[in-house]
Amino acid sequence: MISQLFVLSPRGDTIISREYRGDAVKGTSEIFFRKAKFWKGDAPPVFNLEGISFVHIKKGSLWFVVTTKFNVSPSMLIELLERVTTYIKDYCGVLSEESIRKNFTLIYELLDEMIDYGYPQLMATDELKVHIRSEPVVVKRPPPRSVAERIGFGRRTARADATTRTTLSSKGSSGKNEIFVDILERLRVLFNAEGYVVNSGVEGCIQMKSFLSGNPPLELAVNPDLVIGAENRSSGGFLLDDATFHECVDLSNFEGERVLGIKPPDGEFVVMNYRMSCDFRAPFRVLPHIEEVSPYKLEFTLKIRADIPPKNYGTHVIVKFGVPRAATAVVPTVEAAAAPPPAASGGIRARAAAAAAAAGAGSGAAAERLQIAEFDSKAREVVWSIKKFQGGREVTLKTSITLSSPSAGSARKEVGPIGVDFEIPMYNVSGLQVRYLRIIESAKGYKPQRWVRYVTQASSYVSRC
Amino acid sequence: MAAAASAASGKGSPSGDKPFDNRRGEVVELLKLLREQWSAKDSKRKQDVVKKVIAYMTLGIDVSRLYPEMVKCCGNTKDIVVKKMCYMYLSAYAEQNPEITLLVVNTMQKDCADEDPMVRGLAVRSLTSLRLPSITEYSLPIAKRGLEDLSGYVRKASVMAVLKLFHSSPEEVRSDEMTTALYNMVRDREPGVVVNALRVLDEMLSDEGGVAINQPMMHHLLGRIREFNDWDQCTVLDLVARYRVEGGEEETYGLMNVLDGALRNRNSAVGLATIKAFLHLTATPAMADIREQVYERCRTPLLTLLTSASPESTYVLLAHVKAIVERAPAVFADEFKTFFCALGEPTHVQELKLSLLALLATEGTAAPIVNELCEYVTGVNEDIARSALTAIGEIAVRLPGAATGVVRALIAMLDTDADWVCSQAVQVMQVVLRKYPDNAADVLPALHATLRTGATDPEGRAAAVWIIGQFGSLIDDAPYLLEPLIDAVVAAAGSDAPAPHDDSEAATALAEAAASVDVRLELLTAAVKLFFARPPEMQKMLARLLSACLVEGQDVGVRDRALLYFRLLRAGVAAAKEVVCAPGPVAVTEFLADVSSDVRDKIFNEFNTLSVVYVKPPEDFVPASHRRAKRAGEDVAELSAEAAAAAESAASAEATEAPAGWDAAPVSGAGSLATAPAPAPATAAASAPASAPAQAANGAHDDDLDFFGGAGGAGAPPAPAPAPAAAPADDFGDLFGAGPAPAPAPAPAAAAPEAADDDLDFFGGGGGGGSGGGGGSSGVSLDPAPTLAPPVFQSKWSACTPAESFSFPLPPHVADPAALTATAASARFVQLAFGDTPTHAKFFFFAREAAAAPGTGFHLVSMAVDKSTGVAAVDGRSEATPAAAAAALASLKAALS
Repeated sequence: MISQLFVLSPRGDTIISREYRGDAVKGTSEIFFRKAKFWKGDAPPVFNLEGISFVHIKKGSLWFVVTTKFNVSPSMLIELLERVTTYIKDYCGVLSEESIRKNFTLIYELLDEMIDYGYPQLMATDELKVHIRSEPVVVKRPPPRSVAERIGFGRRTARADATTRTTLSSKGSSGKNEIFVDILERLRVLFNAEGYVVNSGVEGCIQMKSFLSGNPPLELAVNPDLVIGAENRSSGGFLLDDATFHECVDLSNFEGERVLGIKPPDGEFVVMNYRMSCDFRAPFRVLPHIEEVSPYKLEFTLKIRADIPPKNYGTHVIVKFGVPRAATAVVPTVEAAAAPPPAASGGIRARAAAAAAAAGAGSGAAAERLQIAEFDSKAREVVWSIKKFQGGREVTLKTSITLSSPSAGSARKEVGPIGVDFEIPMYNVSGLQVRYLRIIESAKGYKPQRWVRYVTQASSYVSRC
Repeated sequence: MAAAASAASGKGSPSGDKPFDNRRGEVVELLKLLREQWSAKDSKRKQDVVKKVIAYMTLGIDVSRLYPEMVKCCGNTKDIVVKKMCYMYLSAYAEQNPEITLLVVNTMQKDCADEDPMVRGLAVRSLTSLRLPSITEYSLPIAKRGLEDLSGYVRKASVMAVLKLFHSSPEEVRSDEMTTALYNMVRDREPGVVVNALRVLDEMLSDEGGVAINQPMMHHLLGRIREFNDWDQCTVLDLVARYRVEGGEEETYGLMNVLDGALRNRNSAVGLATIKAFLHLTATPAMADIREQVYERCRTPLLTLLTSASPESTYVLLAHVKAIVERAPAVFADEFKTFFCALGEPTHVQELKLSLLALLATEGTAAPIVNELCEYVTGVNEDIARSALTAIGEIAVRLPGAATGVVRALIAMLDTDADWVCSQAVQVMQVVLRKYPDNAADVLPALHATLRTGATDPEGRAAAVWIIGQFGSLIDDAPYLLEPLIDAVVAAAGSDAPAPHDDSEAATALAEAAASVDVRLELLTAAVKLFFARPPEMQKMLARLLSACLVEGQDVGVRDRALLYFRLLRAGVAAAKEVVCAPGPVAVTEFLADVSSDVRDKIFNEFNTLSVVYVKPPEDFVPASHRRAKRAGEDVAELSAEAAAAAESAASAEATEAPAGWDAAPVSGAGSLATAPAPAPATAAASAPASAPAQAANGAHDDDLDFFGGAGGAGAPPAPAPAPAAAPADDFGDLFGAGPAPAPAPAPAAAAPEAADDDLDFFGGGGGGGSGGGGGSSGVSLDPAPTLAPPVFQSKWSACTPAESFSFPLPPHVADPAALTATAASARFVQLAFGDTPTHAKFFFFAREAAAAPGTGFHLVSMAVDKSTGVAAVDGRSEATPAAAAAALASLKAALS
C-alpha cells in the first residue's frame, strides 16, 4: 500500500509530504523529481526505481505522487490521487501552488483522514467535512491560462466553477443555495485530406457542483428515448454506446423513465460519463489544400467552416499545423474575408491581419475579427488563433512555405496534421438533454438556484493533409 | 531538558545535505517561540507557531531538536488542529526520541478515553503511528479496547492500529485470539471497519497466503457490495479474484451477476478489479468458453473508461487492454480506431497505442492501420516515428497479406529527409525481407540509394549491410557498396594513426559506423556471403577485412567470428559456403517475442497490478517483505518463470551471438537449442522442445500444477548429453573435436564464439564425455537420465536437509550458462531451471542415485553465479546418505572446475 504521498512544485520543491508506513527511504521526492523531470519524452505515470514504485499525476504544473513497495493496482493509486486533488480544490477553492502552500494544515488534515497506514479510509466529502477543522484560506483564482498552456494540456474542462467557493463555506449560513450542472462533451475527430471523417467519437459527462444545504436528494431526467448500448437498440431513439455512473447515483428509475436518483456529495463530482461513436455533425469542417508552386515553394491554403447554427459560436479556436523540416521561411496570411472575397487580394502580413480584416470586411463580421497567425520556428508549427468563430462562417489561412532544397514533392507529406482546439458554449453534438433537475426537499421556501450549461470542446480534432 | 534537546538534534539529521545555516537560526527562533507558548493558553499564536514547525518539516528542514517542546505542547492543548499537527510531528521523529515519547503516551492514553469519538479515533491512530516497539505494551491494550468501541470511526482506526503494531512488534500482536477477533469484525455493521479488517488480516497473515475466504464470508461481502465505497469495493473485488469457488458453475454465475454492476462504475480501479475477478472466476478449463465472453463483456466498459480517463489513467488502462489483446486480439480488433493517437497525448501513451495497433491489425484492417502509422512517421517526434515504423514491420511479419502494402509504404518513407526515419525504415525492411525474401527483387532497386548513403547510424548501417550481404547477387554493385565501410574498418584497425585525412561528414559517419561492433559483425558475414556470390570482386576486400578483424585489440566477438570464417574458408571454400549459406529456409517463420509466453501468463495472473504496467513478474520488483505468499493453487509456482527466463536468456544469447548465416534456424526453438545442443537441421529434436513453452502456456491458464509434469515430459529434458539422442551429440563433438572440418550442419549458436577460439579441445572433450555416458562421473553411481517435475523439486527442497554448501571460482569456459549446463550434465546433474539477474545467474540442478528406489535418492543443487567475480555459490541438499551426497557434489564441482 501507499508508503508516502507528496506534492511537488514545478521546480521540485516539496510542498506537501506525508509519510504513511515508514518503509521507504529518505529523499524519495528528490529521486522522483530527478527521474521524472529528465525522462526522455514524457515520464510515464507509473515507474519503478530501486524497488520503489512511483505513481504520479500532474495537475497544472504540480506533481502529485505516491510511492509504494507493494504490487498494488496502479489504477487505484491514480484514482486516489485524482480524488485527493479534487478534494483539495473543493476545500481550498482552487488547485494551485499558492493555495496549497497557504492551506497546508488543512490539506494535512484531509490526507490524515483520507488515508491511514497507506489504505484509503474516509473518501466521501460529507464524512470528511466533520473532521476538518482548519479554516480554508481562499486565494485568488490564477489569471486565465495562457494560450500555450491551454494547448497540449491533456485534459482541461470548463468546470462548473463559476465560483471559487469552498465546500467548507457552505457550512456557514451565508452560503447561497445553488447547484451547477454542466453537460460537457469532448470531441475526437479525424478527417482525411479530402475532408471526410475517418474516425470520430464523443466523450461526454454530466458534472455537478452542489452547494445545497442539507444535501437533499436530487432527480435528474434526461432524454426519454435515450438508449445505451448498440445491442439494446430496437426502435430508433437516441443512442449512446455506453455510460458509467458515480457511486452516488441510484439507477432504479433509469431503465423505465430515464431518471437518475442522486444523493449529491458536497463539491464537484461527475454524475455520469458517456461515450458515443455514431455519426454526428462535426462542428468545424477543415479543408486543406497544398500546391507545389515550385520545387522550392509550397502554397498551403486552409479553409475552416463552422458547421454550427449561426446563433452559436466557437471561442478560443486555435489551429496548429506542422511544416516540413526543410522549411526556411514560413509566412502565414489570414485571408481578409470569408464571404465573397473583395478585392483585398493577396493578403496582409499576419500580425497586421486583425485590423485589416475588420477594415476589409467592413460589415463587422465578428468571426473574422481578432485572428492572429504566427509561425513558431522552434516548434516548427504555424499557430492560428480565432477569438470568436460564429456559426455558418468560413475563414481561410494561406501559408507560403519556402524550402531549403528542391524537395517540394516529399516535403508536402510533412505538412500537417492540422489540430484544431475550440470550445463551443451552449451547444452539444450528442443531443443529450437535461429534461429537468428536481430537488426533493419538502421544506417550504427552499428555492435553490439551478444552473445548467452545455459545453462542447475539442479533445483531439485533427485533419490530415 | 536542554540536554535532551541537543542530544536529539545531534542524532540523525535526515536532510543534512543542505546548507541550512540561516534556517538553523530560524529553528532556534522557533524553539524560543514554542517555549514562550507552551504554558500559554490555546491561541491563534500557538497554532501559528506549530504550523510553522510543520511547514519547516515539509520543506525537509531538520526540526528534530524541537521534539521535547512539541511533546509539551501536545500535552496541554485542547485545540484539535494543534493536536493533529503535533501528532504528525511526533510520528515523524518518535523513532529518534524513544524516551521522551513515553511522556506523550500518557496524553494520548487520556485522549483515547475522551468522550468525543473524533478525539478517540485520532489518538488511537496517532499513538500507533509512532512506530516504537517499546510502547507496544501500552498501545496494544488501547487498540484492543478500540476494537469494541461504539463508534465506527474509532473501530476503523483501531483495526488499522492493530496492523501498525503488528509491524513494529509482530510476536506480541499476532495471536489466535487477535485473528479471531478480526475475522469477527468482517461482520461489523460499518463497511469501513469490515474492509479494514480484511486488509489487516491480509497483511498479518501474508506468510500463509493472506486472509482466508470461505463461501459464507464471500457471500456476506458481496451481499453488501453496494454499501462499500469505490476503494472498499476494490479490496473486496481483489478477494474475489483469489476466491476458490466451492459451489460449482452455479456459484460462479451467481458471483458474476452480482459483480456485473460494478463494470458500470466510472472509477477505473473498480472497473479493472471487476475484470480481474471475472478473469479469475473463469480461469478453469471448463470455463474456457465463458472466458471468451468475459473478454467481450470487458470491451465496452474498458473503452468507456478509456475515453473519460485522464492521461495517467489512460496509460494504465492501455497497458491492461494490451494484456487482454495479447490473449484475445479479436476482442478489440474492430475498435482499432480508438487506439489512433490523439492530439497532444503524452509520448508514453502514444508508444503504448502504437504497440497495440501492431497487435490488433488483421488482414482486413492492416491497410488503414498502416496508413495511420505512416502519418506518425512524418511527425515531429523522433521516438514516435521510430516506434511507428517498428509497428509497421511487426504487422508485415505477422500478416503476409499486408506485407506488400507495408513494403510500399516503407519505400515511400525512404526519401524523407529525416535520418532517423531512413535508418529505422531500413531496419524494418531488413526484418520484412527476412520473412519474405521473395520480395527482395522488387524492393532492392528502390532501396539502392538508401543502402549507399542513407541509414547513417550504426543500427541502420548494420541492417543495410545485412541486406547487401544477403541479396548481393541481386545488386549489381554490391561489393562497391560495402567497400567504403570495409576501408573504414581496415583504417580503424590498421594503425593508431588518426582516422582518414578527409573529415567530411560522410567520412566521419563511416568511421563511427566502423567503430560499432554490430556493424563489424554484420559486415564480416555480409562480406563472406558476398564473396561466395562474387568471388573475383570480393576476394581482396574480404582478405583485408578478415586480417583487420584478426588484429590484437579487436573486439573479442568480432575476432572470434573472423577466425571462424577464416578457418572455414581455409578448410575449403565449398565447405565454407555450405556452412555459411546453409540450405534450408532462408525465411524466418517466427520471431521471438520480447517476453516469453510463460512470463506473460504469470503477468496476466497479476492483472490489475503494477506488474502489467511494467510487464514484469512481481518478484522482479517487489521486495520479498512486501509480497504475499500464494495460497496453494492460487497461482502458478515460481519456478516456471525461472525456467522461462532460462529459455528467454538463452534465446537472446542466440539472437546477439548467432552468426548471420544461421538466421534460418527457427528462432522459436532457440531456447532449447542452447540448452540441448542439437544441430539446427535436426528438426525433430528442435521442434519438440519448441512445443514445450506452448504447452506450458496452455497449462498455466488453469493454474493446474500438473502442467509442470506435462511440460517436462514433452520438452526434451534440458540436459544435453545424456538425454537426447546420441547422434546429434556425436555430431556436435565431431564438429569441434575435429577442428574446422566441413560440417554437415550449422553449429549450435551459443557454442560458436568459444569454439572459434584457438583452444578448441575442451569443448569437444566436454561434449564427448557427456555423450560417452558420463565418463566424468567416476565413483558416483548417478542415474543417467533422472526426471523431476519442478513442483516436486520444490517440495523436496524444503523437505531435505542441507547437505553441503561451498563456493568456488568458475573457470572462464563454463561462465556461459549453456556451457555450464552442458558441463553439469556431463556429471549427470540435470538443469531444472535457470534465472538471470543483472548481477547473478541462478541454476537449479538435480541428480539421482541410480540405485535408489524410483522417485527417491535425489540430490538437489542450487547454484548462484556472481557475474562480476565468476564465483559460484553452491547449496546442496540431498535425500540420499550424506556420504553419497558429498560424493555427488564433489563430482559436480570437479566437472565444473
